[in-house]
Amino acid sequence: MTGSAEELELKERLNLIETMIAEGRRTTGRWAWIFVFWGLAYYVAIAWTALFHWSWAWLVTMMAAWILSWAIQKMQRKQPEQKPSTTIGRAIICIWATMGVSLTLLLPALGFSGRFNQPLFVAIVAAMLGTANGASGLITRWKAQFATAVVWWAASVAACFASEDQSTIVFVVAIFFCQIVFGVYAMVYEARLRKQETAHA
Amino acid sequence: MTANTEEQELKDRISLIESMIAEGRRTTESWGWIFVFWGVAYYVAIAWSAWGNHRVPAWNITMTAAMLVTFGVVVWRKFGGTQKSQPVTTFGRAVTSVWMAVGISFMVLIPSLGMGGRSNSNLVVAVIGTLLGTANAASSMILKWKLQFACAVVWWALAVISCIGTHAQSFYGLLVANFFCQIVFGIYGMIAQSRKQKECRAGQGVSHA
Repeated sequence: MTGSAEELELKERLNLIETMIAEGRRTTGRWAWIFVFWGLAYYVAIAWTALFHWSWAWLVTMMAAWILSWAIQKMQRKQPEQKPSTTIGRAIICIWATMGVSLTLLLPALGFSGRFNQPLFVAIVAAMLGTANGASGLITRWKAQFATAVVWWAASVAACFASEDQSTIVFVVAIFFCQIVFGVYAMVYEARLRKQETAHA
Repeated sequence: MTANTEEQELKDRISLIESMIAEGRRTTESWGWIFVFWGVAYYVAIAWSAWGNHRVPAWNITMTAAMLVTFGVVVWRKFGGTQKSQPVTTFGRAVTSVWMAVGISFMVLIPSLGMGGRSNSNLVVAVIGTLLGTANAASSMILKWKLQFACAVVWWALAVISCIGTHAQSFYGLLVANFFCQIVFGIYGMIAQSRKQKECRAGQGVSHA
């Protein structure tokens, strides 16, 4: 009797975990626009720096992107159909938040100290984005997201051995695959799930 | 009636989540030795590179050896350990994922910076501080563990100090951060785990009697 009760509890826990994993992927899907948005923001900053050689281009673009994404997610939270976050959804948010804090601390500190250069910037940003995507991909068991982490890690290694121009090209390519393509894919995935839900309802 | 059932289900879920958080913390505590082990490994590498013979490969050899030992122990605990391992909870899996991803970034970034000729001691310490700050902060936020978050703040502070400070400030900063966030925090985790094991054994003894 105790054995079967324990087995039942274990099954319930497994079910809950599976539901949480699926919900975790949906959380990433709901936030997919932010991948595309930040990918475009990086492109704007890169183009602005390359064309106008203005050293504050990155800072201004990143600040503007941060404020805009904050405002959009605030509006998103006000929507009534917003679901409560699960444990896995919360864990993913924690990972991305801490990655953001780390980059916000490290990059300006490197800039102020005069140690900053383009390949180093790409290597560090790519490694941090690899960490966040890798951890999120492992938690949600989402191979596509883990693949983006591998691309970011490869970009990080390549940037360490590259010249300034080469590192910019590496960054542009990685952004395309890991932000734009993955972001659009996740948006399509989420939209398909929503359609299925509507059809079942 | 339906409202009552829903309320009960909600309570069950909350208590399950709370027990998962507690288990997640216990998982971290059971890995307390790894914090101490890596803390000691950092000290060995620092001492070797500062005062030893054949200083150049000091960090590479020590870190590779530490990684191999860690990998061996993890494999042994998972597959060949005498104790039956506890089932992994969602929180435990989330924390493990964070540390695995940070570990991969470590292995990818630090040797590449060295081989690419972009490395200097201040930069390496800044990168170490940033990665360990990220891992500790994410874990602590997932497990709602203030003490571990304090460790994250110390690692982040070290990262900033290493960027804007001198070589000596970065060096002493690493020694201090390593002591508090690896050795002290690791020993705290080990003590907490052994205390809980004792309590568990005492509880089993009472139930048998």
